[in-house]
Amino acid sequence: MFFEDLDYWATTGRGWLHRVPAWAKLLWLAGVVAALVLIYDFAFYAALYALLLAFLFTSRLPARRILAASAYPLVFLVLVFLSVRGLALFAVLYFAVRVLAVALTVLLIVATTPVPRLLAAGRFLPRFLVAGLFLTYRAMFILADVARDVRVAYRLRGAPGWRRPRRFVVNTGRAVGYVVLAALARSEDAAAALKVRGFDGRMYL
Amino acid sequence: MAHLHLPDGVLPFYLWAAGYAVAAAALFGLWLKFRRARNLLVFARAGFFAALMVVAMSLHVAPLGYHLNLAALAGIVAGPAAALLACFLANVILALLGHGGVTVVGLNTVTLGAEALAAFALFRAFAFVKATWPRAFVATTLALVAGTALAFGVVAVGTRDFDEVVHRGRGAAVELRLFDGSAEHVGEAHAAAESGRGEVSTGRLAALFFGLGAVGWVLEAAVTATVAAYLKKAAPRLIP
Repeated sequence: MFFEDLDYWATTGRGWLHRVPAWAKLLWLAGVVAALVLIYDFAFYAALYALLLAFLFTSRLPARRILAASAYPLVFLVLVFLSVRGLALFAVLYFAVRVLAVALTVLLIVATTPVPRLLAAGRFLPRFLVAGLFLTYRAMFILADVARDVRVAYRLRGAPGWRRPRRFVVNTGRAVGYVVLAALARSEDAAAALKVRGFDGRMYL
Repeated sequence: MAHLHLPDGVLPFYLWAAGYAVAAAALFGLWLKFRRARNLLVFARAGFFAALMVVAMSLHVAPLGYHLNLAALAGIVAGPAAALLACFLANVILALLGHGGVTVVGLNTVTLGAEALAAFALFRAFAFVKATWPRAFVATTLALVAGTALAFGVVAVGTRDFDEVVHRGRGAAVELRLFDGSAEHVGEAHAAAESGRGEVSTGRLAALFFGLGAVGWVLEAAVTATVAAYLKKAAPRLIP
């Protein structure tokens, strides 16, 4: 799954962007968000995107995969564009470059900084949210393994696809049901573990 | 599947700030509740359900990026507090994966959280229906319709000033010529701004939102209902 790849690139990468401290990257992100509110210039976003592309191509990351992931928000943008009467090419370029610049900023940060380090830099957030994010981050990998096992088992047993829609929905529902049960069982274990360790809402990262 | 992840850079500041304010108020309420009750199970469930939602949203099951979001299931199984917290956590993680924006985590939490809360309330309201599958199917479908309507409202309000925002960006149209030497871009931008074109048609937006959403409602509701029916047999204590 993509988040597993991102985590792998962030923890094993050796590019120059990996060496930049997490707080500096978060500051950069804050700057980009502030720009979204304050700056409306197309040229600014085009220049920002060009700079981010330069970062991407020099940071020893799989550029094609990251570019593909950063383009996902364009799905939403296409819906908005389809509903615009008299859409100008400039409007398409303007919004696309704004959306792509922010998405690429975030992906560059996450692909070059392990999430625990980002969370540790996010100390200004409420403690229980940081703890919740860390718990979610850990659980994602556990559940991805369970989901992968279920998918393999499902395929080994013949896995009817969309050609038999009713069967497909029933089997998908049961597979998801199994993963939900696994998630709930593990959440009970996690709650017990937090309790015996005297969890007070803070994670020491 | 009916949920649309709003990206950064499209909606105006006042709207996403309002989204953050609503989400912050809800989270503050949850924090007070957590502090008072020290309910670690709700906290852990929220974390694992958020992870489940992220994993589900990472697996596309149909073309056009359709995927399960499991917010309604979280509402039905985990309850309103854990589901709301799970929606926020999932949206933060998704924003970090480029799947939804950083600035719109609040708005995405509000729309996804509304689906979860509606599914929770409707599933309990339909307690007179004995069979779990139809009960969960109807509750989930109605919750997804409500979530889509809310998302549509947000986007319709947020894109009201579409032409004005483009007009402000036009300030750079002259520089655009320096970048790629294309006079057409500049001409088109000017023409669009001068003639006041570039308005979002609310009717067309609604047709797209609800038309594409309807496919997602049916698929998500069918899967959620099947999961609920499965859980009713495998772990009856989870389904009230």
